[in-house]
Amino acid sequence: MKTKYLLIAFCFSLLIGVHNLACAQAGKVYDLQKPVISIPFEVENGSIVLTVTLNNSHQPLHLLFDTGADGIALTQGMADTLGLQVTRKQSTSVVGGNMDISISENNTIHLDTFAIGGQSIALFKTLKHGVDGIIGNNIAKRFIVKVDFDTKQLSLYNFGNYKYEPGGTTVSFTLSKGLIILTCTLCLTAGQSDTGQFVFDSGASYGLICFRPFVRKNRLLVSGFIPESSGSTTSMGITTPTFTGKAVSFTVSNLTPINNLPVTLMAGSGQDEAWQPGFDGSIGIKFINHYNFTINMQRSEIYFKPLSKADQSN
Amino acid sequence: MIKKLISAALFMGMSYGALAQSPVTITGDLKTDHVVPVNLYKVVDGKANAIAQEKPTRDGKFGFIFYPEYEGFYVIGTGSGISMMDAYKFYFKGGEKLSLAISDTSYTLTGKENSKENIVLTQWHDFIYPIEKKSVWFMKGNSTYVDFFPQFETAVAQSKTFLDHKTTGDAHFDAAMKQVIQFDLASYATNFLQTPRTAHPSVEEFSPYFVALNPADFTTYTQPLYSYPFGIRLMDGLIAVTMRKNGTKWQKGPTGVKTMIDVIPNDTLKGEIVLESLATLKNFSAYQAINDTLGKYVITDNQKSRNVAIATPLAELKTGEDGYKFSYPDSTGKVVNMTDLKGKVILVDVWATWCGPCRGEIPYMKKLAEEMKDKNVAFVSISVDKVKDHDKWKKMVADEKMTGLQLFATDQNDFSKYYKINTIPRFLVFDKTGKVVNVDSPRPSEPELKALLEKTLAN
Repeated sequence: MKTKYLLIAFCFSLLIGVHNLACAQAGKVYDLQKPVISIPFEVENGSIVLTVTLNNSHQPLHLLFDTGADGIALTQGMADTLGLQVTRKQSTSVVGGNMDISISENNTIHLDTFAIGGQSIALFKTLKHGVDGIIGNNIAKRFIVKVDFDTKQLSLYNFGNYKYEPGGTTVSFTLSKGLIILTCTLCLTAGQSDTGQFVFDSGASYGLICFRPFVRKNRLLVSGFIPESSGSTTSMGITTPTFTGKAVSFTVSNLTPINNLPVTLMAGSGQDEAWQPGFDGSIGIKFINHYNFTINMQRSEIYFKPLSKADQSN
Repeated sequence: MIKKLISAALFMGMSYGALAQSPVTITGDLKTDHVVPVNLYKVVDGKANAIAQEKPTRDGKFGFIFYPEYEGFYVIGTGSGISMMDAYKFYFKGGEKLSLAISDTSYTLTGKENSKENIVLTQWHDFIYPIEKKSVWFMKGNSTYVDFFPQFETAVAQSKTFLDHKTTGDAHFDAAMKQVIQFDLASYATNFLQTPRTAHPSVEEFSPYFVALNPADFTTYTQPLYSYPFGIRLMDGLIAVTMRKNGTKWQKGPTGVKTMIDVIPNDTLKGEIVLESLATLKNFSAYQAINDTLGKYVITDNQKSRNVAIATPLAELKTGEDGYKFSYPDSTGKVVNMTDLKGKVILVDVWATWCGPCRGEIPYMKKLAEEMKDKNVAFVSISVDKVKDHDKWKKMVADEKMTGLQLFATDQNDFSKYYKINTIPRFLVFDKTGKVVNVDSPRPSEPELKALLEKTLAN
């Protein structure tokens, strides 16, 4: 879960370029409600998986649409298959130590007939099971991204005076380290309310997790919370115990509160508690897929609209 | 069985008959998966000291008859007496009959002749058993602070009224029982934090009992702690929790011991911490470093006597004493004597092939030997592998290209016994005349070892 934040650093420069591009496009005349491209996606274990191709290869790649990452990543094995060239290496500080990441630059990714060039791709020995790689917020930096679970379509729109369909709610976010951060309020037990900054992470398989510093600071595990199960999460050789149960309610910014939401809380491992993720927690796909959502980086907002279907994607 | 009981009674009578006019008679059934010895402990200076052991009959019957040395708490159980595991408290002053059945993790009273005091103690044990189970039996179940803290706080609240309407009429016991409840709660609390768990709380997550836990409540006077069977263990736990709350790091040597005793207000009990620290040492210079600065807290005659018992064997190994003249074969079978190395400073590494930390020192040992190859230093590695692992040892010596003299002493060797080497790796330095420089020297991975060798060469 923490590994994907590795992608933040190498794509940071891209972010700056994107805003310039967005400003240039704003002055042109587009049919703003017509998508640049609309492609189907598959829902696997609740997550969004896109089928794309890379450069001149016709081999379909299955990429997890992961807003908890800032760029594109592929497995080293798939990169070798496609003949991607490593153009540079980057040492990145991560939880538990440093990791050297191989990066292939200046690739073109194809979403059906639509090509997006100049893409840097990070190569990892292993990534999430069942996908060839992940695609993060880099497309959201260049286009408005609409994810519709009802039709299972992901659509890209040019920045501009985009109008959201009625029936939803606009939520403002901040960008931090290339990630989308939402202000959320957790009512874990009756009478306890804690507000924090949560990563909007469509690549995470859970619904809601609170990171250790937030759990510790607000004494979430020792204030009457009754866990239903326990487990652990391991990242970079560090295993963190977790406890999962139901929160009385969870509210993303100005959205309607969701009651009895499953929440996972990170507990102390008895070792060094110096890990500072920079955020208070993360909202995963099992929460996100209750909504069709549109990410609009230009306005720093996400438009949430509850699914129209009774049977939601999870 | 009867004969055994009588012989036990006579033996104990000789020791303690002067204080108690009537013996205590204990009969029991051991209802455990395996028949193991049952121990009877008295309380000495905050620890449970075994005074009798009985191997039950094949159907689990056991018994003790003894004259209690004092009125107060004793312990019965199949445990070692070091922890609260399989160790149950009872109160005797003489003349009582106790009948009990011991299971794998608890006990029940049986019969109708048990004293009021022991009935109250058992009621308390029954009440607190869910807490004891989670705190002491940490390997059974998977309790963490998330479930323990709220349950413990509830037990603490209920314990405040536990003794209501349970007055026995024995004023001495009734007062002692109030105290035992507080000491038990603190013991379960500290033991819980000090034992392996899948999750551990940060200090910010401590529940109110842990936040308020104050060592001074238990260690201002010696008597309450000394008369509690797990008193010293509790004091260690209180120190550990307090240091954690204060963010104090553990340190070696006098500074570390000073940090610990600063938590305890009573000087005599400070002395117990000093003695505990001294008892773990393996060389006289380390002993002197602590004793010279903190030995002033070793106050009572009893403590002084224990201090002498700790110092005597260490003094035999102090700097300047003749080193033990070892003599072991190398990989070719040629026997190497320590006296063969006279004229050289000797670094001895006691190790074994199965010991990970020992193997971790090998690269440093090789590097040190290379750096000092022109110096008059003999590098001697003594393997304490079992005889059956001789070939494994030879292979590792070859595979790892280990340098210096490689000797095979086996796990049953006099060198280890002489220097009380219970843990490895262990490094020892002797001067050019074979006299002790340091029998627990720094490791090759520590720069202090090279400095010590160079200093010894210069002398």
